[in-house]
Amino acid sequence: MNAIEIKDLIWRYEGRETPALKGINLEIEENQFIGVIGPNEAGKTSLVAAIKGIIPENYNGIYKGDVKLFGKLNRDSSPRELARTVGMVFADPDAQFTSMSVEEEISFGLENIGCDVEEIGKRLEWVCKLTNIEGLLEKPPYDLSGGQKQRVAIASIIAMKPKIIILDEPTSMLDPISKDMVFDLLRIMKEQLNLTVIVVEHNVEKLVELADKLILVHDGQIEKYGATETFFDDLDFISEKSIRVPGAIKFMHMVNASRNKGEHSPIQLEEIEKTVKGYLKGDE
Amino acid sequence: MANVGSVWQLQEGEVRKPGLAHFVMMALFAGIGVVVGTFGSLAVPLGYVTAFWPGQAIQSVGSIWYGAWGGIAGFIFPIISNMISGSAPLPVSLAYIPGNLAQSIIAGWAFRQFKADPRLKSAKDWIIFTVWGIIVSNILGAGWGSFVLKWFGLIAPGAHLTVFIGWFVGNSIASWVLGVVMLKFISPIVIRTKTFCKGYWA
Amino acid sequence: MEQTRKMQRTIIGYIPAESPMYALHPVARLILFLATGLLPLFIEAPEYNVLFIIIIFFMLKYSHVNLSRLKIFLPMMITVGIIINLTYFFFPINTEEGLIIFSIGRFNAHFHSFMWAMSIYIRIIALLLASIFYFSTNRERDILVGFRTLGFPFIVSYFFGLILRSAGIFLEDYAIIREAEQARGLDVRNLSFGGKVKHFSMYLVPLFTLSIRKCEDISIGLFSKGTELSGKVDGKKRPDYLKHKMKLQRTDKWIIATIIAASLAVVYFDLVVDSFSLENAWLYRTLRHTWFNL
Repeated sequence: MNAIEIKDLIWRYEGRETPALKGINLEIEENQFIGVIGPNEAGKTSLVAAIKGIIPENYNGIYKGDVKLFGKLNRDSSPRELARTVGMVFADPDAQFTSMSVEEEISFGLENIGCDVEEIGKRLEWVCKLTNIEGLLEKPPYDLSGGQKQRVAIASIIAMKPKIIILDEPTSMLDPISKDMVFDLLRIMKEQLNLTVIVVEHNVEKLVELADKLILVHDGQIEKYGATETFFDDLDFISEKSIRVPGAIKFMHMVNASRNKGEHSPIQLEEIEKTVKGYLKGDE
Repeated sequence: MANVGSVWQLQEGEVRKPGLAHFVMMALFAGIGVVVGTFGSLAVPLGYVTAFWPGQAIQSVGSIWYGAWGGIAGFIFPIISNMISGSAPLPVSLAYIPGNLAQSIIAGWAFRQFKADPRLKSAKDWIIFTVWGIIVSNILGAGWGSFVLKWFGLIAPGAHLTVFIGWFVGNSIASWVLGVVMLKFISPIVIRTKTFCKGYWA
Repeated sequence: MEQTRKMQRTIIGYIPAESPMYALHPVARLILFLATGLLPLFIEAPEYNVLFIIIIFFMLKYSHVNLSRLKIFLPMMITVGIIINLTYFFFPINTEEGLIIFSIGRFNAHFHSFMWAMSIYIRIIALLLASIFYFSTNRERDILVGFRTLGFPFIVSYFFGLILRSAGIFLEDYAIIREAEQARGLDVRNLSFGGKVKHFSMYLVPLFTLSIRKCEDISIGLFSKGTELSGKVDGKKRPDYLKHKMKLQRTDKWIIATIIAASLAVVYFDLVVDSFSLENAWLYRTLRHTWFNL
């Protein structure tokens, strides 16, 4: 079943001359891990905000087209219904905290969707263990480091057990160690939870390690949508769209080109390493 | 170019509804008021006699930008800032509410009633802010406040007029300076936001 | 060597990291605050309010509050005392008796006026200390749980929480702007008072701009978590995890009952028996006797 179906979506923010989204058509299957890449101002955030329903609910502008989540139009859903279906983590961890302690922050969303208090207790315990934030429950959000804040933000969304989780540049404001921690969490989400995950991310190296499919957004349109393994086969096209292609992928392409290998090149670091070692040993 | 009065005018087809964002802005504005009010009270530690209290500017400007939401924020934040700064105990703060409410709604009412521009673009805008947002608001605020002090015995009855004048003049100066800065420099940004209220609630 | 108590930062100040007060349910602490924040109003006799102040100091100490942090309130307490005494010196009340303690020029310090000023001053300090005690021993979440347990609707307690949260956000942004200014060599201490006022005003421009953005962020954050301000979910009362978790114990109930009973007793003795009036106060009578032999 499709988790998300978008048909002819156009969105223009009030006061802007050109639309941020120019006729998007997209289908995302259930339980897929989707990476969204694209240059700044391409429309990535607008796209995921439209999936979450933040657009048009929280902004003024012109909206045309349909966004359906599991077959239901999201503009027909209340904020509560949307929260039960789709959760979203934002780039700035501070921006999403609305409570006075970590425990409250996590339980807040659960209260909103009507979980009973016993269930809230169970989910708190589960999600804290999963995201390794057990020691932070009593702390106020302003006493946490950037990485801790983002883990709490992710935990608060996972706890609500939505069918879809969107993360909009979740590592853009974090230090390298915290970035790794967030990617570890993304791996846990992929491997342990039955979820559709959509991650907007500039760190393509890390994203290709996790994503089943990638979406390239450019100038308000989806320029490419496909399986991660074959996504970088046409490197020139990707580079033209202002995407910084990881050095390892470029290297592998060059090596394969020099060896006249027609098939697509590996893109995950482990695979690349294995292939290169094989070449060095003389394997074909 | 926007003509004077157009700030309050709904455009054709424009729909403005009160929502979550207004509620959040009301809380944020009250939070700002708490900080400004607390700092003001600690910086000029005159205690419950709130002379030179910059919080009044927040009250007037709040209702100009955010209508009734700003008005509510304006009478709530002094209760909290007074408790934090120790400038007035809870019963006195509660008794101040009518005065704070007056200070929090008059400017907003006057700007909408007389179609004044919050960006203080014309002489009329300056006059309306000074007369309604400062003078009338502070006469009522200082009048009620000094009455509360007399009522609680915090000033001698004979000192009522002196305290009233001191309160009125001190607060008027502080709130005029701060209010003008806020309106002149921040209004152009605020009026473009979703939470700016052309009416009283949206 | 005196052991330094570990303190925990809150938006509105500092609280002890550990305190016996935390054993009490937040609503018991809130009721204690409401009682201590109101009772001095019923008491004119300075000695009782002095006793009340001593008790609050004892409670502050017992609760592990770092008393040195109270220094920031000192200027306020001193100026309040000066203002009260000056108004009652220059505008005395009940001068008929003609009991004058001292004179400066044509102004006389009348005994009753002086005692009344002292009574009011001690009362106001007692009330202020009650507020300080409450905010020095309660985290923001305790305050909210207290409100909710007392039956305040979700929207009210949430609004109050958001005010405190936004005050914290505002202060964080303020600190960042100040640090940036200091890094560029500006020392606000060297500015004149007028300069400081102007400077403080100018801080507001970037701070408000940031707040407007934060408002958008928080609204979106609330929307994405399915927040609806009705206080109901699918027609039923909104669940409240923290309130459920922090249950009232038998001790809390006893303490609440004791506070209410003590408060009613004070009100009774004031309104019916007139035990706490200034004229009946031991200090008033003693000083009157000592100075004027009356």
